[in-house]
Amino acid sequence: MALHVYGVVAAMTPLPEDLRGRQQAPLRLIVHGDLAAVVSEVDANSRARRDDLLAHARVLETLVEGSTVLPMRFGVIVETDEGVAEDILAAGESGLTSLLNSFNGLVQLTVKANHNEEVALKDLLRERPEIRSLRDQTAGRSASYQSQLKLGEAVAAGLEALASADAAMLKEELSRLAERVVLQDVSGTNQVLDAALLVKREARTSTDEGIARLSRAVPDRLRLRYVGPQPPYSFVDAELAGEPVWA
Amino acid sequence: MSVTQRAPNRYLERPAPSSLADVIDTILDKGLVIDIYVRVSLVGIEILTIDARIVIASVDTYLRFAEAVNRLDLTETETQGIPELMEDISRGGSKRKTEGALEAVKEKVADVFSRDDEEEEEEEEDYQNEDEDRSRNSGRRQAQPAKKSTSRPRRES
Repeated sequence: MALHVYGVVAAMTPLPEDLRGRQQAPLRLIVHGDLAAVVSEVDANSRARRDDLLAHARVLETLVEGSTVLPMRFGVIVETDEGVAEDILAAGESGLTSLLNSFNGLVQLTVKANHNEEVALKDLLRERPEIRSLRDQTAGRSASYQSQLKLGEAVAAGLEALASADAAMLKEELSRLAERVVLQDVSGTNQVLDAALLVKREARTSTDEGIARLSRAVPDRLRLRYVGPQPPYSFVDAELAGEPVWA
Repeated sequence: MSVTQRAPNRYLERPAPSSLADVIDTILDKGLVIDIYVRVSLVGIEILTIDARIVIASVDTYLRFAEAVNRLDLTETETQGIPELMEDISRGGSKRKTEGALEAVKEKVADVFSRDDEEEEEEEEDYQNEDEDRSRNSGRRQAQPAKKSTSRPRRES
């Protein structure tokens, strides 16, 4: 057996009794000083199924409802308790402690936005007479291949411009609802925005209300998805990219 | 009418737990990593991240857009100025259908498997089904060659 490591919490963090890890294994804490790693036993050779991925996320999302959690990326497997205590907690002690402090009371919420293509195309035609006239020129079957291409190219560029404008608008709105906002990569047709919000746990209700208001207020071409609360995946990532925690 | 108008967004009153797709975007890609232990875990598990991309700036995509705008009802486009009215048409389709049309360019499909093939048939099938779902929904997506995602080096050591 080996240990699957879910994340790092403060040593006193209570684990909900009914919370189970991968393959329904019970969770426990391995404590070192003021820090603890959340682990469960796992067959070192077992393969990761989708349930394992979801279990990892579920454990972290449940814990973050009530405690500050630093998430491990999926796939950190350590052979022994001592390995966890020494190589993770002791080796990274100062960095982990300062990360725990900096995320104290904070959770991540993720907002994703897509375009409904059909609605977006209609908006585009309505707002851009030059594209509309290109379309009118290519309406018949006689339209040349070249003119079809020209129209399609204009539409593609128009949709991208619309997505950029919508993303900028959404980011501004979301920034009012969060301590910090990190935009994650989106790069394509109909995908508008993937934003991670860092929010105070106690401000969750007003954040929820803010997102609900926003989702009612945005143009109908936009579809929002709202996910969370999550541990600060995107922000831990940002912190680490800037400053390695342990050597 | 306004109730049905907003129906697709009603779930935004509260955030939802991560779906498998969200999980793939986050836990395989973000979070703390300790390189030596990720390597340990990779003895049994190999994680493939595939960047499936629609080539936007392609002839195929342009033609698809040209066809799509040509299909739109001109009269309606010109006479109805209120965005909400336009929505009625697209409301009919199921969520699934809508999402099928709404494909993202960069979608990570993570295929997680071990080198040990015993007892893996069932999961193999699961992932395959999912991949099929994705490609069915993806329109003209072209998958690029899969690339192995190894643990990102966080630092020089």
